[in-house]
Amino acid sequence: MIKSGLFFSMLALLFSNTLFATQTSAKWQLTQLTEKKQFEVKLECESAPSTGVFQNCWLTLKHLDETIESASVFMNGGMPEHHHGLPTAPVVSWSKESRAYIIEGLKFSMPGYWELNFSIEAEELPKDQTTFSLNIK
Amino acid sequence: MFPHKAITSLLFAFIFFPLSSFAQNWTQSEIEKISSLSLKNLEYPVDPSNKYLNDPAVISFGKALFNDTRLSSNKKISCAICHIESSAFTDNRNLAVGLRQGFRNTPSLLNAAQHNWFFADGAKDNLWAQVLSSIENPAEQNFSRVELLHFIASDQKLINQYELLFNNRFPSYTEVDQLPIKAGPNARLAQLISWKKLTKEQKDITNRVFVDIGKAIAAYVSTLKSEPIRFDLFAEDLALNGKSEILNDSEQRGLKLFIGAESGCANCHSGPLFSNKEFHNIGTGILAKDNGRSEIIESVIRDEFNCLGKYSDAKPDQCMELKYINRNKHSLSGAFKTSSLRGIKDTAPYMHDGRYMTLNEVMEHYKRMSKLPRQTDLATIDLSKEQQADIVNFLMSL
Repeated sequence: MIKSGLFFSMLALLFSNTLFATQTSAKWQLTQLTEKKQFEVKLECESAPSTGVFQNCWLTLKHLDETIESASVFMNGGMPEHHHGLPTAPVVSWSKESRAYIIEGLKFSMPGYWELNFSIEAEELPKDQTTFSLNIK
Repeated sequence: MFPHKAITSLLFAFIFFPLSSFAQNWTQSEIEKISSLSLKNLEYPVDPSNKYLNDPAVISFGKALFNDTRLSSNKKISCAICHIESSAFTDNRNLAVGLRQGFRNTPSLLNAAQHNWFFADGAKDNLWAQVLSSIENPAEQNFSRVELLHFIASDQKLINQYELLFNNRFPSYTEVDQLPIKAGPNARLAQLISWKKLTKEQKDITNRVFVDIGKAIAAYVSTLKSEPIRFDLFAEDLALNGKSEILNDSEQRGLKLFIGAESGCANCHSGPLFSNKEFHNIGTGILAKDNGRSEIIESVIRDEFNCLGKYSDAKPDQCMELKYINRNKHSLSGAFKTSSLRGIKDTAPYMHDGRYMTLNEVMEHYKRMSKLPRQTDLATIDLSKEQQADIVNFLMSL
């Protein structure tokens, strides 16, 4: 009984450390409401977005101060002034370990003004979206 | 002696100082941008799909094959015929000529391994697959993969070398004898039919040898790199002293324009290769003829020789470019890979199809952007003749 208690305590500690690591490793973040104000969306990255390399970024969603875990999130983006989209097709998926929506495959091809659009579908809530504006140096 | 030396130094200063007053003023942000273009930022090429990349014996074998005209159907064409060492590994023709004329300009191989995608439209996601495509292409070496297997099988010394280098059993004489003389999936119809008649095992043993040969040549090509040039010395001097006279007045004005917002050149021509290695539509694609990236998305995903395929040495999570490939054909219509500008003075003609003989013509192309019939990723770059000349002078220093 003691052994199993210890095991679960260690597991909980490990889990909380993982969560802590994710939250504190964000060096850059933007938070805004979706168009219909259904969600508060926080976009975080390990470092300020830059060109030429895959970005380590993730999203967290809140609805009425509650974290939303089961949403489907689709993303798109591009440079409106240059009439082109993202160089890759990034994928957004919920990670239980990180308790965040991990963005995989995100890359920027050049400096300048970029837009990242996130379309969000969650149960029992109207579909909503938001567009982040980024100025990449 | 000392007074004489001092007088000489003074005279030197009087004579040369007024002439060297062309040093431009640079902001810290500009100096950082220039520094980011320096060759010192170029990292050693990494290709997890090719485990032989750093094997000196395989590199040496690859170099021999790169120069071997026997790897062509007429025994006259090798990789080196179009990629001429004395011409920065290009051929200075508008369009490449192998067995017959192709439809693309021959790119330089210097720093080729630094790219994420190969061919102007990125039809291959690794260098060895690109090599193999050129060997089989009827317009280039026209040498099918089964012919290549017979070529090695005909020479016991080559067989021994193959088995030693790749730690891979070369197919037995019985297995080789059962194969047709010529066959390959990318060859002309008769050879394609012969290829389709082979068993799955026969195809696999042929592919294994073919891929190893491609990886050897790619390992050699990966060693071809630019040497530091005057621009790199300038960037270093500028970072140290805040000014430099290593580039002349016009070249420095050209560089300032090149990295500035007015031209926007460095948006795409960034990093030590002067290329962001991505695909952009600058109005050079021709619909129904050669429309660039949008035309090859499906084939690169299905390619048996891609990073995720069974002949790759990479783990799936090392194939990020392919895994997250942009499949939006509409947005990639007419897009080609940003050319590297390093060594550009030696690599005329320009653009993916060699349509321009000079950089002045390239500058005029960018000035005509708004008049092109199709929408492009770029607005017109409206520079004066003097500004264009300065940028061209800067580019010729690369």
